[in-house]
Amino acid sequence: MRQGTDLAAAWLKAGRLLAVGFLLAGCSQMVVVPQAPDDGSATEVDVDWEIGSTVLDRPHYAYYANRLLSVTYRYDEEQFERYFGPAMGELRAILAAGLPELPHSYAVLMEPPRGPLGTLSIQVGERAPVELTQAGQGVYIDGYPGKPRLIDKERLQRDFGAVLEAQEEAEKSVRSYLVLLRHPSGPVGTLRFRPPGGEEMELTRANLGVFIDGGPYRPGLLDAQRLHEDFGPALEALTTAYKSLRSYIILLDSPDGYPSKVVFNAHGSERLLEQVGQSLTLDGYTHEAEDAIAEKDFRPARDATKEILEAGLPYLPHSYVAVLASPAGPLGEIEILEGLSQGVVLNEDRAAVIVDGFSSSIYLVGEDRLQTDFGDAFAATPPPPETFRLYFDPGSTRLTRGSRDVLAQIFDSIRRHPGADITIDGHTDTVGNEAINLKLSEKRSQSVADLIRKSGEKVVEITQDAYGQSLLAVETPDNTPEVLNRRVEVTIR
Amino acid sequence: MSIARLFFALLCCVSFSAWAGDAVIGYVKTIKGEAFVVSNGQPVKAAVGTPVATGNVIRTGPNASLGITFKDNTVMSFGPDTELSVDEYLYSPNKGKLKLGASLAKGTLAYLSGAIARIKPDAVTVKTPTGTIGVRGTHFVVRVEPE
Repeated sequence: MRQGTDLAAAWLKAGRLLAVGFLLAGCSQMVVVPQAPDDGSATEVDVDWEIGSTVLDRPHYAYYANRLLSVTYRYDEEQFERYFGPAMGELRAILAAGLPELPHSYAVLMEPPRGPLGTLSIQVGERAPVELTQAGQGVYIDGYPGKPRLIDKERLQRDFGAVLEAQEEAEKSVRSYLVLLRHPSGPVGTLRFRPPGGEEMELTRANLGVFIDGGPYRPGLLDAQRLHEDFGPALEALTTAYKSLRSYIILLDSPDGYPSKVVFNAHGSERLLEQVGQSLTLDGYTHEAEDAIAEKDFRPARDATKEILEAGLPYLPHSYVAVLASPAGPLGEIEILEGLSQGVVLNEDRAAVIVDGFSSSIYLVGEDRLQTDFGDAFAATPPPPETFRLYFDPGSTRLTRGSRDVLAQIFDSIRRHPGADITIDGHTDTVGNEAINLKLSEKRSQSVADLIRKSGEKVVEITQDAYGQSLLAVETPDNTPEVLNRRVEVTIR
Repeated sequence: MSIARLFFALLCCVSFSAWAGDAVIGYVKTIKGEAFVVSNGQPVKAAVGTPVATGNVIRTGPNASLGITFKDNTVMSFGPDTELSVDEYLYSPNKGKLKLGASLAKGTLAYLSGAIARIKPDAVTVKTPTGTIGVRGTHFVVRVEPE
């Protein structure tokens, strides 16, 4: 006799007892298959007696056999109740008390974390395959027959909790996802993602990510540990590349010591670099240039510059102004009134400033530099103008004795002044009246002019002026003789 | 105080047609190489004694240099490849008219102040393409690098 469910075994036991009873009672046997109390299980009883055999597989049916006949028939419920009522009652009581499920091997269709549910088709032995189509639906696979039914959640948790957790963990670590990361030096920005068949979503916070290999298509915060594990090396490489491959401006110390500054117009806003080492990426972000990178980037250029300067080659030519000391007069000052170096005042010997915008710093221009730039101009400087005074006897155009020697100096000066143009100014002292003195000063001027012309010295122009007694060399009261006022001033240019 | 200014016949070694009517404010005193004084658009080859008038442009060639002394004793000398124009010149100290304005377009200039700068320091200015110089001193140099 084949064993079906345990309940059937219980029944069989009852059946055997019945059968024994019948046997004793009149050598007949009977087996009854009632409706299983759990209503789902099928029962199959394989009867194999000496007096007869059959297979009973339907509830509410009985098989009766004796020496004369054997029959399968649907039993009468009342009769059944009479014979088996108490036993059934006890059995129901046991079940109602909630005996735990006996352990079985079973398969259950689970709700997947992603993707369609699908169906599970189970075939046990030679039975017809069973289809599981609902999440949580399970069926025995150890031969114990049964219809597929929903396994309760507690049972599933007990049986599969650990496994499912492990799977979730494993799931997490092998999924493809997008994550918005913090920009090394700028705004985080927005990442837009459209999942297949879904609506576009926006990631706007750093570390917000979304799975892209199947959902759920919901942004979530990724923890720093995970990001570090997944992206650590990549981010490091990116940062290094970022630093070393961006175009940038950097203010370096100048080999000639001039301070400088860089004004950079980035996207309409002006950025200023004033400190050596400050740098700016060409897209406007402030860039902390690492010394190592700046060194590597500019070593060849700086070496070349140094070489050029050491070779003593001239500076890049600039427009500049320099004030110089001169025996001809006090140094005074030069001021830049307008222009790129406006406001600079030079008041020291060789104080100079560049005026073409390269720099507005005052520096001392070197003697060599002056000679190179202005050597020709210095050499072309005309001899300085010279002024001589010739004195006269009172009221006359006769030169004093001493003045005749001065004449010789005048002629010599004319010789030393190629292209000489001369101014001769005649004066008198206060002796006499103004009108007469004016005339006298004219005559004195004229006479000196004549002397110069007669000398034959080459002169380009003579200008004669007469001032009478209006411009005294020595202040005297009226009508006072004063030889120093009775003079002609000759200026030779 | 009235001063009569008397101008007499000028003794000239060389005659120049261009400057007749323009008041002379200075003369070329030194010259080396090829240079010109451009007067009303007419270039005159510079030589010792070439006159300079207001509005004239002084131009030196690549190997030339030149020096001018002005009436107030201002001295300007120029190196090669230089171009300077004398924009304003007033020297009448008794009338209070004192002014010297020049523009250096390119090249090198060495400057020695004369009476104008001494008497009225803010009367002297030299313009360059990138800045204007106020001259309140005796001696300075300017270099203008062409663009």
